[in-house]
Amino acid sequence: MTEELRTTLHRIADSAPPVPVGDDLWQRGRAARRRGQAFAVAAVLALVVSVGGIATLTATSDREARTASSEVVEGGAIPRNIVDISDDLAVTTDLAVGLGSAAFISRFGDPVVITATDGLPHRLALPGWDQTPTALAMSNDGRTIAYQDGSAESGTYLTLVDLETGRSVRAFSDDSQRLQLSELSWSPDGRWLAWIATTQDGLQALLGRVQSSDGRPRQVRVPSDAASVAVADDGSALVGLATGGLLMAEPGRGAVSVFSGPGVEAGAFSPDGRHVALRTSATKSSYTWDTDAGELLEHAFPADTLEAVELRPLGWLDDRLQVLLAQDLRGSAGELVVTTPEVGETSTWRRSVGYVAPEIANSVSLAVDLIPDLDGTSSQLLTHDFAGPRRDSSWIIGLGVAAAIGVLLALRWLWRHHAR
Amino acid sequence: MITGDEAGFDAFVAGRSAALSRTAYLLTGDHHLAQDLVQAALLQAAKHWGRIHTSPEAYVRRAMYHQNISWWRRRKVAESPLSFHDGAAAAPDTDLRLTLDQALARLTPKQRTVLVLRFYEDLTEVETARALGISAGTVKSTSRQALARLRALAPELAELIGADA
Repeated sequence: MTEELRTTLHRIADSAPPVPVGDDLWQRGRAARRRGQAFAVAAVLALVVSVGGIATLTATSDREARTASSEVVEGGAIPRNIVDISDDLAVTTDLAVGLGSAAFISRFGDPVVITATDGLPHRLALPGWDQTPTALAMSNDGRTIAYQDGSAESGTYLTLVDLETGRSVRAFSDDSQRLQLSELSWSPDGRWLAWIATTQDGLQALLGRVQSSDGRPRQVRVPSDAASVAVADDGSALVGLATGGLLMAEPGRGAVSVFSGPGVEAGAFSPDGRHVALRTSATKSSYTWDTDAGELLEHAFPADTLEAVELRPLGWLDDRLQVLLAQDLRGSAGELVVTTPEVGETSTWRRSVGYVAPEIANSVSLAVDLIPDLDGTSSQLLTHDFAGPRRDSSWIIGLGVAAAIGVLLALRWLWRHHAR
Repeated sequence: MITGDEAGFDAFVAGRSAALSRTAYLLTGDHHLAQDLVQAALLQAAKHWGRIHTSPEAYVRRAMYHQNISWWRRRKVAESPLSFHDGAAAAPDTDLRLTLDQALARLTPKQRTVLVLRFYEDLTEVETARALGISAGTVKSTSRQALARLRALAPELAELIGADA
């Protein structure tokens, strides 16, 4: 069947004439790069000069007004809007960027960390990062990221980076074969890291676990369609199969089937290890696996809220509340939802907690420990709007932007005038 | 003066643009859009050549996949809602190639991209997931949904894609 589909697709593709490619692509690309760099420098200068000047003028009446770029949140926070980086963001070679709030792989395959206190993105120059997308995951406390290190031609390596010191350590090495780490998952306390490793032909899969403190990895064979993994604080792992079904693997043991049925995959363990928030596709409910009772719990979305969505758990706030990323089936922006495993008298369901751009929604991981405890009100903000002013200083920003535009136009005019 | 980087870029374009064109056509279903897609991806590659010159093809292909989905999002406001197309489409042309071409045009870009990567580029589910930055499970479910949709759109393709694939 697939062979006929493959053949027909090739016939369609072969019938398409080759598209002409411009001779000047290289020059245009390099010119665009130079323009981007020059524009970035000019924009920074213009903003610094204009905003700084206006701030000085208004210092007596509003001296504490600050713009988003200089805002610092004590202790850190998750940004309310997590967006992809711009093409021209400079690469950061010093990996000691500080506590992180989110990590993701940009649309062009770059590893990115957003720092927790200022909400700024950093395009990291991770040693051995393969430009094609590889696994990247941030621990719940935002202190460490883990990624597949492809620095050697063959072999499989997993590296941890301490974002506060910038120090890298190898958490796992296998010089014998090149595996693809398709999933990386931290335990809630950040002591365990689990992964699904698949051979290049996709015929074999391994569940790997390592305790970050002792560095002794363990791998056990799992079915080849293992597609997701969650790990608990005691090292127990739940594996989800793409064809449906969940497997549980106690530390040091093989995986045994605990649930058969399509539509759910492993997501994230609760801190007490009792529950696992599950990934789902095209559902109007969230699902949680109760490891004690061995049963599936359902929390239907409230009426008139979300349509059928793909849900990806990003972690738990405590033993009761899970953070889910909901994305509709058309691939629009992801929406952060905080909810409980089941509907009940004390259950919670809060949407619009934050948003994640569609390009990065599949790879984003969050430092969920930065989300504050719920205070019981519906107006409490669980994420921080780094883009917004802290006080009503919109008129200053407006003037600053206007001045910046003026300076940029003047620079552009000078540039063109000079070019003639 | 032609630099080493420029020569490397030119060699890459000369060697791979035909293959990239074919993939771009399958992704977009339109010659003009395919041309735009290839040009845009190669322009990005030229811009970042210093960083990606060791594995430019993976970068360019990923740029094409994501650019196509991004363009589709901007275009979709002018398109008919998907539900409008859910009934079986009339397919007067009996040639399976044309029928498949027309049916592919009615898939979402994500579904179409997954099918192209799985059945044209011959990538495994894991490789497809890696290329698109999604989980292998999502690849599998998207592929299943896409094939089911093709069957609904063009029942005459059942033999080609199977009854319950």
